Amino acid sequence: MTNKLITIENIYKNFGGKGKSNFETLKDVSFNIIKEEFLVLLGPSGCGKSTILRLLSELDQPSSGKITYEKDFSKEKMSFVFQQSAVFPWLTVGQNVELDLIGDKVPKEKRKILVKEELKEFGLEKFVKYRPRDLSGGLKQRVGLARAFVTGPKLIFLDEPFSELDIFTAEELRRELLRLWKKHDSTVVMVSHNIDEAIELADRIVVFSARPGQIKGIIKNELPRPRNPRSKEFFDMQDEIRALLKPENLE
Amino acid sequence: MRIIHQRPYHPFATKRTTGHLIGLSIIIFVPLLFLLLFSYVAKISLPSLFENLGISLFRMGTACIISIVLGWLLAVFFYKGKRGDIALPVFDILQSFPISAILPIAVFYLGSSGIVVIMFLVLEIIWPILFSILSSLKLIRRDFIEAVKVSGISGLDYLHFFLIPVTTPGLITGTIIGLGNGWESLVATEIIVHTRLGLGNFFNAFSSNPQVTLLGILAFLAVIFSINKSIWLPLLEWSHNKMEE
Repeated sequence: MTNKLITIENIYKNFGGKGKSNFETLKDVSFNIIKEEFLVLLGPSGCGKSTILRLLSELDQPSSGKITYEKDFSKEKMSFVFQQSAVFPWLTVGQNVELDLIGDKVPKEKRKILVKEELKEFGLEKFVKYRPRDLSGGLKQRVGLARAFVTGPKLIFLDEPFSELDIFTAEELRRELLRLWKKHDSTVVMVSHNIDEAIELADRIVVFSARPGQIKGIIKNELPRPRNPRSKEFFDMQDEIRALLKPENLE
Repeated sequence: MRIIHQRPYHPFATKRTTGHLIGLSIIIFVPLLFLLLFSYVAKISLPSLFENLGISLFRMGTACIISIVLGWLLAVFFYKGKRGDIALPVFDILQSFPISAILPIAVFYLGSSGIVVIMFLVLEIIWPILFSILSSLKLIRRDFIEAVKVSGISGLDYLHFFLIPVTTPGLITGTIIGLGNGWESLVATEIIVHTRLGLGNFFNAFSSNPQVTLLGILAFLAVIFSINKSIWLPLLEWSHNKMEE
């Protein structure tokens, strides 16, 4: 297929070694990431979902196996949204959003314009000079999202970005994320342990077993958007995923 | 959208209350009063007193700056990896070394100079600074480290936006502890080194007069208290506020 952005082949990841107990986190994981898709990695806690994101974003290296990016893809076009937003408390909201542009060596004048636009996009323009400690959890995560989207990334990794938010804020941010994903024509790879969230957002859902994480199934989600969580098709998909996540299937 | 506090950040925000001004005046005038009283009781001219005090403060300030720069560089260079595995146990042994035991040898070889005093003050002050910064660096949240890597900032930007802010609280805490050690050693070191000028010389000269010595100690404590209250404690509060999430 020509529209593959990343190919992941036979990935193993072990932690520990040299005087520490060695444990296997990922075992023989292989799948592809397709251009402009919304992919969700779903599985129980500790199954290595976040580890995969770190391997894909080159924050860590696999113990063995191969990750291949499409030939023309520039790794500078990747960004990351963290579970606890990872917004730096010593910087203002504006400076936090500007940081990735500084990393990309964008000239100061252009940075100012881009930051202003991005803050407006996320409804944060009033808070440009505020410190993160003065914001609620939802607003902090908006800052994290704005920082990730400001560079116009083609590939975005999100590590359980809504897991620490209340359901209303999480719902609002999920809608926002879908809108931005479509607007930017980017590829999104998101980690979640929430089945409903995965069905609501994903084009494909990769379901993992308990540690060491192995792929139990890849589910294609062709339900029309916006997805109705009360529809029969939504419930059917829930059942399909739950069947894969049953303890006897996770072993 | 919910906002917890409406408080735009301003880097030069200060307290401008009457209480604050009165406090500031006390901090400045109390040590001066003690020094004037000491000068009167001990029958020392004010210029001479201020010259000796100034020399001691200069030695302390120089040692403090050298310790901050050196401690910060050592901490940043050795806080992780194989370098850290080798260097940290060595630092741990060195910080326990009884520095004053080799002071007479240093005086024998290097002479009774202010440089020897500064050198020994550095060896007293640097360890808390180094270990506090090391602790700050080791406690950085993993996602902060990863967010910085993802942002791609490097060089001076990395220093300005990341490394200096995360090490500042440790640096300030370490400096406060280090200066505590330093003040304690300053007078003793100056007495052992036999410097011509400095507070050690004063206390040595008045060692047979307990009243004057006591007054001198009180004046000295008032100066230290003023420096801590007007510089270090506000800096400590500022750095902790800055890191508050």
